[in-house]
Amino acid sequence: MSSNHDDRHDDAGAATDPVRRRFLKTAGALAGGAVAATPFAASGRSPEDFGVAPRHLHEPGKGSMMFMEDHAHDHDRQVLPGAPDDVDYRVFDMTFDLVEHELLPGVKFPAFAFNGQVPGPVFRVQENDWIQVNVTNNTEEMHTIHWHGVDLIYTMDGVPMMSHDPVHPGETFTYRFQARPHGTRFYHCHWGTPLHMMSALHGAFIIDSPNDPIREQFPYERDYVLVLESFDLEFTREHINEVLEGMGQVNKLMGDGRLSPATHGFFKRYEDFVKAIEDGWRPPYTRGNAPGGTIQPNFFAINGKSYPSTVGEHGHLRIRQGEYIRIRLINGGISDHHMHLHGHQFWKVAEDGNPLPYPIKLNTVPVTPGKTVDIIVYGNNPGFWDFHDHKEIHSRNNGIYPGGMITMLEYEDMGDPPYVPSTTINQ
Amino acid sequence: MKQHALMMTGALLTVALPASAFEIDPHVPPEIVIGGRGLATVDFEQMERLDDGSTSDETVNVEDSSLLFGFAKHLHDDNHYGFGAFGFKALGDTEMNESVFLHQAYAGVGGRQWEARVGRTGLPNSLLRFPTVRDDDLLGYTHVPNARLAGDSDTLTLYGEQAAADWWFTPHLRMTAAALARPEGAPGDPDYGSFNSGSLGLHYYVPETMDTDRGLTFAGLSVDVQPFDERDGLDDGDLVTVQLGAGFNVSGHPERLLHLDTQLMWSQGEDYGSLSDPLERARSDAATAVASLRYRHRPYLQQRWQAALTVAGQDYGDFDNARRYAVVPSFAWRLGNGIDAVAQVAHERYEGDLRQGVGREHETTVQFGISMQFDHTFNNSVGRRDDIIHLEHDMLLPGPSFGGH
Repeated sequence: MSSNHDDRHDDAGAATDPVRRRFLKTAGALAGGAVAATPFAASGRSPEDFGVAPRHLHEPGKGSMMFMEDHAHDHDRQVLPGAPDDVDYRVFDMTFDLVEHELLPGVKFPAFAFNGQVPGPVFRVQENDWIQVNVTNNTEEMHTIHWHGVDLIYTMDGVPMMSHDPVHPGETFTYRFQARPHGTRFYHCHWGTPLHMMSALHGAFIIDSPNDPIREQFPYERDYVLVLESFDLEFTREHINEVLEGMGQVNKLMGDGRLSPATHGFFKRYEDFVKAIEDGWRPPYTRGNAPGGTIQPNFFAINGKSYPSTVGEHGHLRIRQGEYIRIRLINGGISDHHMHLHGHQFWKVAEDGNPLPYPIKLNTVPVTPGKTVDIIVYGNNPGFWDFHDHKEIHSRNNGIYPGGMITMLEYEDMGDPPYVPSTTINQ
Repeated sequence: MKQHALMMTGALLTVALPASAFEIDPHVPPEIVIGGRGLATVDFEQMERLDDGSTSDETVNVEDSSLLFGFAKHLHDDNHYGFGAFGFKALGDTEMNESVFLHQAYAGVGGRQWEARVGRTGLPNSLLRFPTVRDDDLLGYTHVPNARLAGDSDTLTLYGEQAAADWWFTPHLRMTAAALARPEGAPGDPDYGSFNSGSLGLHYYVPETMDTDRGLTFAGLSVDVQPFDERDGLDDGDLVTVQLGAGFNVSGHPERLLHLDTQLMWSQGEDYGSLSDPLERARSDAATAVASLRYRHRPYLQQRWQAALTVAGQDYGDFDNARRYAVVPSFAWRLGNGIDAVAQVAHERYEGDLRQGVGREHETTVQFGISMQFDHTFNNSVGRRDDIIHLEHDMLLPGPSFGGH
C-alpha cells in the first residue's frame, strides 16, 4: 500500500540535481546530432526551440518500424506552445520492462511494468512543477506514456501516431510538461492499450497543491494510493507471447526496410489504408481474420497484490482515532469496482482528480475504468475493518473466495483488541 | 482394435470419476483443444504396369481428414503439467478393414525441461514434414518402414503405441527416446501394443519468430532399431535406420520465404534376393534422399500462396539396379484462414529389379482439392513449449510440445 512515506514514492519522486544536470548535458549533445537529420536543420533551429522535447532519436528510416516516407510530426510542433527551456525541471528516469510478477504466493504472470514494478512508481509533484520524464524501453514491444487527466501539450499526451511515434525498443523518449491541475491523476501506456494498461503499465501521478481545498476541509496528514487492477492472466500470457512473437523479428525487419509499416497496420493516411485493402491487404478485424475472444479477468489486485498479500506489515491501511486519512482510488484496469468500507461513513471528495463542490457521504463508491476517486475516512470506530470491492466476483482469486480486491483498515491505537484477524483464503 | 479402444475408454472413465466428498481438491476443468482437418481431393491416377499396360482411375479421396481432442492442465505445483489426446483419422489404406482409425490416444506429463508420454500417436520415424498434400504421399522415402508389417499400410507405418520421453538441453536442443510398439502382422488384422523397436533422436530447432535470417533452422539425427522375427518365410534379423535432416532459410525474407528441407536415410537390414513383397522391401538395405524447396508468398506476412517442389530418390543397395524416383510439385492457394485450395502432381518412376518387384514402370497422380483445418482452445490455461516468453525470457512453465494430427 503506498502512502506518502512509501519507498515507491521516493524512487520516482527523487528529482535530484545530479540526475537533472547529467540529463541536460546528454540531451544537449544528442539533440545537436539529431537536428542535422531533421527538417529543422535548414532553419538552424532545434525542436527545443519550438518548446518541445526532441523527438526520440531515430535517424529517419533507420531502425524504425514506424518510418514512413515524408511523415514527420515535427511540423506540428511549430505552431504549438510547449515546455520552455528556461525553467527548472523535476527529472525522473523510468523504464518499460518485461517482468514476471507475483500477485500472491503461487501465482506469477508475465507483465509489462514501469521500472520493473506493478503498478509503476507513484509520482508526487507539486502543481505547476515542470516535469521531465526520460523513459527507456527495455522491451521488444513499443510503448508510450499517457498522462491521464493532466492538461499538457498534445505532443506529450502519449497516444501513438496521434501525439507522437511510440517509443521503440531500446529507445529513450523524453516527456516534458507542466503538472496541472492538482489532484489524483495517473499514467498508463497507450500502445496496445487493453493489454498494456491491464498488464500492467499503469501508476499514480499525484499532483499536490498547498491550496488543496480538501486538505483545508479535512486536515489529514496521511494519504494512501490504491491502484485497483484486474488481470486476465491467460489473456496476458497469450497476448504478451503474441506481441513478442510479432515484434522482435518484425521490428528488426521493418528497421531494415524489409517489411512495410502496413504489416502492422500503420498507414500515413486513411486513403492509404483503404487502398491497401483494395490491393489485397487483409484487415485483421474481419470475421475471417480476427480470432475473437474476450477478456475475462480472473485475478484482481490492489497495488499489484491480491488478498491475502494486500494485508500485512506493509500492505494495508492504518488510521488512529480522531485522524482523517485520504484514500486515492485509481482504476488502472478494465473492470468496474465498487469499493465498500465496513463500519464507517466516508466522504467522497474528488472525482477524476478534481475536488467536488461538496463532499458526499457514502460507504460504497464506484470506481469505473479510467476514473480516480478520492475519499476521506475519519477514525471514529476502532477495529479491523474490511475494505473491499463489493462486486464480490472481484474478491476472489481465480474464482476462489476470499481473494483479489480486499484489504483492511486497521486502527493503530486499539490497545489490546478483543479479536485479531487471521488469514482465510478458501471459504 | 475394438478391444483395445474399449479398454482405453474404460480407463478414461475410471480416471474421470468425481473426487470423494472428503477431498479438498476440487474438480478443475482442463484446457481443451479441438482440432481437425477436412481434406478432400479429386485424384486422377495413371499407372503403367508391366503386365497389363496402362491403367487409370479417378477417385474422390478424403484420406487424412481427422478430428482431434487435446487436453492439458497444470499439476498441483504449477511447475508441471499433464496432457492427453484422442483423435480419429480417415483412412485410405485398402488393405485395412477399417475406414476410420484411432490414430491418437495418449497421455503424458511434463516439466520445464522434460516431457514423457505413453499411448498411440505418430511414430518418431521421420525428422521433417515435407510439403506434400498428405503426410504419406512420399511415405516410402520420408519415413522409416515398418519391418514387422506383412503388407502395405501407410497408416500402420505412421502410427503406433509407444512410451517416449523428451529432454531439452536448451529450449532449442531436444533429445528424444522412445520404446516403440509398431503394429505387426497383416494390415487387415494387425496386432498392437507389444514393444518391438526403439528410437533415439537429437533435434535442434529455431522458430521463425526468433530468427528470420538466412541460415539453418533445423538439424536432426535419429537412430531407429527394429529387431524382427521370421515371418512369411523371411528370416529374422534387424533393421537399423539412421536419419539425418536439415532445414535452411534460403531467402532470408519473410514475405518471400524460400525454405529448403533435406533428409537422408540409411537402412541396414537383410538381403532376401527379391523386392517383390512389401515386407521384403521394408527389411532391405536402402539409401534414401528427399529434398524440398518451398516458396511462401506472404506480403505483409499474410499468406497468399505456397508453391513447393519435392524430389526423392531411393536405392536398394543389395541390388545392382533397384531404384525409384519421385517428383512432386504442389501448390496451395490460401482462400481464408485455415482454408486452402490445393493441387499436386506426383510422379514416381521405378527402375531395374525394383520395377520388376513392384510390377510397375511409373505412376502419376494429379490431385485438386480443398483443405480446411482448424483448432480452437477452450479454457486456455496452459502455455506452449514454443511460447516465446519461455524460449527467450525463461518465464512461466511451458506447456506440452507434443500432439497434433
